[in-house]
Amino acid sequence: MNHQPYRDWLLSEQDLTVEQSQAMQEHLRSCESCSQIESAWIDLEAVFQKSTQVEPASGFTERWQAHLAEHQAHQQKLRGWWTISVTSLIVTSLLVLLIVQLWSLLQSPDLFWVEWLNRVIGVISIYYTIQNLVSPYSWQIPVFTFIGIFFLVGIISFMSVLWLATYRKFVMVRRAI
Amino acid sequence: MNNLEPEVLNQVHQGNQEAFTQLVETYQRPVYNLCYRMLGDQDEAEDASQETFLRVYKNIKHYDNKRPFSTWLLSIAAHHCIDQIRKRRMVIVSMDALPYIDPPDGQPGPEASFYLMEDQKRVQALLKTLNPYDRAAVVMYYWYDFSYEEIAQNLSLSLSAVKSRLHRARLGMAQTWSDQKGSNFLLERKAHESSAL
Repeated sequence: MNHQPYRDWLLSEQDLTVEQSQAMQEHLRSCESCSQIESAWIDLEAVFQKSTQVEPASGFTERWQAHLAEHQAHQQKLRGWWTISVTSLIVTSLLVLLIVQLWSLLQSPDLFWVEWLNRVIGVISIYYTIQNLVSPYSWQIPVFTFIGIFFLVGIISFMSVLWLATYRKFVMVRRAI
Repeated sequence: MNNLEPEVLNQVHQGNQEAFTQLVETYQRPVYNLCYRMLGDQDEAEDASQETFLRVYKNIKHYDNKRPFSTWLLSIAAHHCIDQIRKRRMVIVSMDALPYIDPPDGQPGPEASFYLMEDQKRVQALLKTLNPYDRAAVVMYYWYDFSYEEIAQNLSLSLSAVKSRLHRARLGMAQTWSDQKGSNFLLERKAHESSAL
């Protein structure tokens, strides 16, 4: 016996046509299994309808606030560790670079000074190249002003990054409060 | 289900913690109920509800105002519970630890309450026999009056998948319910026979 269509009709919420309804009643009279399913489903639906929502134990909101505070403290701790790790990494890298520089200075001081002199000459030659490029516009700046601007731009860039980082940090803290 | 004022929701969106506390106050019951129906354990339901609100707090920026807030919230709870069920290595069915269940209005005396509690235990045990997605679909359909479309949207399933899952779940639960009734009847008959002897 094929139960499938009758079980589909029993358990779906679609409206049946008169013919379908008659066919199902006929099937239910002859099929004990489907009849049991029907009876069980009617019982079960009634139980579902009687079911109400389960409530949490009192003080849920207070526990939530404590949970949130704990989470925020944990996050802050993580951020602290992250900052320390990144700073340590940067400091270590800088130290390694410094040691390498010092090492080369100790090994051959002459070569070290020559190398640095080359770098300074390089910066000055960049300056003169730029000056030659813009000389048709009769725009000239002294070499020390150029170096000053070079460092000033560097400092301004660094301060901007610092400001952005600080601003972000404060905004995040305000949001968390 | 209680709904939050749009003004409070806006404040929550802006990161106001007092408004968020109000949100927790408003939705604690539906969220806890869903978690309890899904997980079947008070402590796990409490943890899952707390975690749901924490996820909402962290992801409130991603909430789309066009969608009802309650469905978004319950979808987060359902997905978290599904993950929890999948993580479990074994399912422990405990029928003893039951939280307080509100009796329906006009509920008669202690006997009716007892039967109601028994039925609730059986329903909870039945829910545990379903797979996580079927369970979530049943809970959303019968406890929250979600439409098939809403269930499909919340569980990231197709409409036909929701219909077939609900059909499968209903059939499975009806068969188990019927079997339990049969075994209860046999037990009662045995008890009567032994007392008559």
